[in-house]
Amino acid sequence: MVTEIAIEAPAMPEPARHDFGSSARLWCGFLGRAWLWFLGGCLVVTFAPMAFGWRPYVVESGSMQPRINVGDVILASPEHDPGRLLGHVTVFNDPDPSHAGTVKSHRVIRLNPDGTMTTKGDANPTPDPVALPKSDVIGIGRLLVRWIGLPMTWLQRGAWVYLALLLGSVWLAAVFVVRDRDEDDESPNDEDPDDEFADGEWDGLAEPEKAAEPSRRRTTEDFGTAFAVAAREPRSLRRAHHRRRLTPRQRLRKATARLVVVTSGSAALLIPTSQAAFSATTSVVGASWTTAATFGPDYTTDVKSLNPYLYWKLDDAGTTSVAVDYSGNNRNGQYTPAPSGSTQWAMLQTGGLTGQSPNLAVTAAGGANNSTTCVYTNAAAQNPAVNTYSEIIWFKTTSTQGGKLIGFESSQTGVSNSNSGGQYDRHIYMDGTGALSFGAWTGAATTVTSGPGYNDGAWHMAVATMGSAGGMRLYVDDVLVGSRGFVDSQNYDALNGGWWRVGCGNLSGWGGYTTQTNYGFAGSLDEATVYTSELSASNVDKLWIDINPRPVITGLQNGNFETGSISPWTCTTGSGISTNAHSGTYAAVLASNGSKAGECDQTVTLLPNHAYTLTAWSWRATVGVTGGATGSAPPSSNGNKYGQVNFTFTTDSTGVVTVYAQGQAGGTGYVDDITIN
Amino acid sequence: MSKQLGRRRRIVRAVAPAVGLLAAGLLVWQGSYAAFSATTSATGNTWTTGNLVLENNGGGTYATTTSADFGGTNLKPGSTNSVCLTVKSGGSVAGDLRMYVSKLTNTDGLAPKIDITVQAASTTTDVSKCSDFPTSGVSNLYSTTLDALPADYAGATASDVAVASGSVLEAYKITWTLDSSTDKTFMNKSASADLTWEIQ
Repeated sequence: MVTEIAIEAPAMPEPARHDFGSSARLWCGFLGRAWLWFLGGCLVVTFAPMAFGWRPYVVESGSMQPRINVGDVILASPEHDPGRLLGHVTVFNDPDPSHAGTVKSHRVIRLNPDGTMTTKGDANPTPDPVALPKSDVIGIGRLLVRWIGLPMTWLQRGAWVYLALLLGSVWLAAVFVVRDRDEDDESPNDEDPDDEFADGEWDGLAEPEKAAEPSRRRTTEDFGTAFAVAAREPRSLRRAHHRRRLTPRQRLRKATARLVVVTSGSAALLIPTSQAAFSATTSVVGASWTTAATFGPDYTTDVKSLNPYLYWKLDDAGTTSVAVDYSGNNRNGQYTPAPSGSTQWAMLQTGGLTGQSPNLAVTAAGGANNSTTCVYTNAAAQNPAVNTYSEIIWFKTTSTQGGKLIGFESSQTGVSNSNSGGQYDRHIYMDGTGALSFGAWTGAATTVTSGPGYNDGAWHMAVATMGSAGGMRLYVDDVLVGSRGFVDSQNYDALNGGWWRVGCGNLSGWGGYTTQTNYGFAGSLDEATVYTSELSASNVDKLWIDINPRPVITGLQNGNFETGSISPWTCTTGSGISTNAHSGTYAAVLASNGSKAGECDQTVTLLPNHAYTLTAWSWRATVGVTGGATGSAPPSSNGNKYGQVNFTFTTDSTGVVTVYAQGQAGGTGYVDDITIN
Repeated sequence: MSKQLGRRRRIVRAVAPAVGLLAAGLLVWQGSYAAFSATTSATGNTWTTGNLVLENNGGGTYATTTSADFGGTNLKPGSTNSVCLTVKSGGSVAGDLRMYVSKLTNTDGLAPKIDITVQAASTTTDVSKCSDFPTSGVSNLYSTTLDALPADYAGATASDVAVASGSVLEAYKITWTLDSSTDKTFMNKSASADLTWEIQ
């Protein structure tokens, strides 16, 4: 509207050149006055509410766009009730530690159960990351004064050109106003300025029709009617202002007026700032790390790494009859009878893979009859190679009936009756004494057999393997219990092949078994595995130590004491490292501690069940081992210098022994260069 | 000077303050109304103007929240893996992009055993698998343990990645390792975390 008037003004018909210049001054004065009053009004609105506790904040960033822009001033009144703040622009001390000490203006979008509030910038896609506690709330946004804080942001950004333009406009406005007044001073006919506004008002209000020209009349009407109230409000202010103008010292007055205007304009720079910071987040949720049940090697992984033909872990729950194949070859087995509802199967029993997860197995009722418990392949298997294959089965039983653990037969179910062409071999079976046999049939039975006693109620791992490298071998618990240089087996029908079976099968003609029947194994079965390759002793060993890890062989450390420190030996008080060495620089001194002989010890882990020789150089000292083995060597016969001593010992199954060197009560001994071989 | 002109001058002068003050009043009224009145639809993203959008493709496609195939089960000392993803900033504002752990569940105490390295590199194509991760211009942001990663934007000061305005892609490679020194007391333990990228 101001602009519109400015355009109209030059177009107004003016009677004389002098009048035209006067009119221009008048309208420039109008613009100047309007601009200054506008700025003043904004400043008053900004600062006046401080009288009743409201506080202004300049918005410094744009995350509340398009409603609130940079440079706007938010007037906030104290309000701490979260219920009233919900949905409103709230001014608060930023609870985000990264913005400690700053004031933020964002909208409360959610009340949290813990009493905090979630805030968000309107222009931000995601809420602020840190919830707002009630204690950080300053107040609720009540009034927004557009742009008035811009000088503040310009100042902070160093936008001096904008600042200069603004100050220039204020200065220019002041000049316009003063010029307009100067005209009054030049005019002898000028009325008492004190009445100036009153007259103007009344003219505008009461006699709008008297206005001479249409364009001017309209202008007067607009202002007079619509703005009269606003114009009347600050009247007393204006009166005071213009009374001052009556004083004679014009120049001082002008300067003062300009100073006042600029100073009050600068007051905008005192408004505290508030951030409405842009931010956005994106998240990857649910990253999760879970460690293994055991950090030892994984038996299942190692079995698979040897590329099994089939691998029934027998971890099945038994809701279906399927024995899942873990080989990756989809050679599932089938439980018979169906485990669901059967009393002959106990599923999900603790298995043989101690320390592994999961460690599950099945327990079969067994028994020598044709309806015994069994797991067999769903589909007929091809005739396996006669000379290269391996089988693994874990079992646990106290049965004295024995039975077949794993094998290959020409019939899927029932008895592969040898009297009518039935074939069955490549099997591991147990006899009544708990001895295990691995048998291959080539017109006659060829077996390798272990000693008795594996029906001791403990889990055992039986591995049968055949191949050109090692012949026919049977391992039980990683120990080779039987072998022979024989590489041949039953040749099954090339077309029909046969079936792998676990836990049952005909044994007629094998060992003491004579009856044509299913010799079902009564006991727990686990990890049935078939390979079409030969397994080496180290293959078997690797699988075994997955479950039965060997102690780490530490051997003797710092036996010559040349580290210069007694560690890892531990010694009695007064004993320790010494430079009285047999060789090198250091040895151990064994000094009597009161009446007790000085001693240094070190516990070492050696191979279990292994013979060793300990050699040392000692001087008035006894060297020995205790714990998992016993042995010692007395001090050398030469009492005045080092002499070499040695003794032998054999470790027990733990392999753990304590090596000691002991001086003499009341005396001092030395020991050096201890080795164990 | 004519009486008429003097009279006009008085009117114009009288009206000028009214114009200025009215404009000020209108300005305040309009601004306040727009900013503070419409509160009913203020929740959620109703007013989002999309000035700043941050997404990641950890789940294969870009989304604000994804579930990357991160971490693992059956971990043993030395178990390790790398996850690569791209954080896409589509906004009109430049800022500093930082990564931090916005949520950490560590009741088992496993987090100190999970070593994490975080690398970032500017990219022009989407990186969702580590074979596509840039080989040059890579900055190493973190090499620490899961529990020692910063928990908020402020703590992540050392990992600033300056992001310009407009659509910007930043590839991240996060490599975790269950520390090889992890002893058996940490068997069968779990830790979980949410990773957040924030731009300000």
